[in-house]
Amino acid sequence: MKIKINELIRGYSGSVRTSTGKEYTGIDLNGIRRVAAEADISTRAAEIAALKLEIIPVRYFRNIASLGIAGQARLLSSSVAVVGAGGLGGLAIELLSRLGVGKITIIDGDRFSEDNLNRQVLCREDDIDRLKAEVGAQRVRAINSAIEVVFHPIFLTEENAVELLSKSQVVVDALDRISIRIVLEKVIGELGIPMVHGAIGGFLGQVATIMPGSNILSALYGGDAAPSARGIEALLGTPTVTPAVIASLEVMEVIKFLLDRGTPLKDEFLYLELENAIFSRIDLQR
Amino acid sequence: MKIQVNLYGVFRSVAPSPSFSREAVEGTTVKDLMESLQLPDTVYRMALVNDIRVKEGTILKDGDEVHIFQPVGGG
Repeated sequence: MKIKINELIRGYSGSVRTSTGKEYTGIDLNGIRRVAAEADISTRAAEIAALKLEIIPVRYFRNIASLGIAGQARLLSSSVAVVGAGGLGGLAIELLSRLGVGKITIIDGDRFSEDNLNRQVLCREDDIDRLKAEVGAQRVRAINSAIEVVFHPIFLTEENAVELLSKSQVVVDALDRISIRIVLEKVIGELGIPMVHGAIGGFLGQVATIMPGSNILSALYGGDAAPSARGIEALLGTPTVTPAVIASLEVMEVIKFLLDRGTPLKDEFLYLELENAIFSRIDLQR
Repeated sequence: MKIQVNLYGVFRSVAPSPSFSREAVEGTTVKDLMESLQLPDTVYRMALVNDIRVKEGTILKDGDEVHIFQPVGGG
């Protein structure tokens, strides 16, 4: 069977020339679909098999010089959960889909409202009142049909979190309240998986990779020093540009974790003040 | 004693510079510092002293570095 798949991939692959004149051996979307249909495997499995032959699915070509063929294959075999499909989550879902993360789980019980249109990339005028998680899953399928997407149109709670997140390797925190983020942090400690925290308020934002048990958020917000459930966003709102910056940084943290490369933001957080273009790394000891 | 103060976000503009060294009397608490800087109390104020999150009643020591910022929680 394996030989047949490899023969099919070679048969549907060919020399691809980019607009800048580079040439590589690639396989296009149509070829991947044919391999999958003829070998009775998923398109994701066909893409992974192609990469193992160093035949690059064209859709990922622009990733390869930075991620590597093995890195791209590893992402296609990875599983990421996104909790919250609003401003941060919608952009994270968009990026993870284009990146080619193999399995995406979306959790959000909310529906789109008109005041989401300023920043939530998943929300079009026609999507108002629709479930964010469902729209997110449709977006994933529309961008990258090789991805296995699961959506749960329910809010994360302390009771359901372990079950919802247990099959993911890393969780993107795209929630909108500090209190539920602290719940998520506790749960990932139990599950032994990291979460990538991102939060926005006005033109301010912050990002951190929280390893299980490091409890950065409860150190910041817990105990006697607890602020109200909402942060500076209650005063400054959530304007258009901030989620795109923070969600991009969150997905970059996911890449670093899944591919074990670069310098993750562990035991520190990045605090961004976009209006003054000041990015500060703030250490946080426990 | 001398303490190093770093202000972030909405607190950045309350002092001429967001990062400065300041003289303080023995026994000065984080809260005393926040009040002397006239940080708006309509915004929740958070402080790290030498990279550790502290309560406002914490007494500062010579050479301490204080970061003051506000919680960010939106999505």
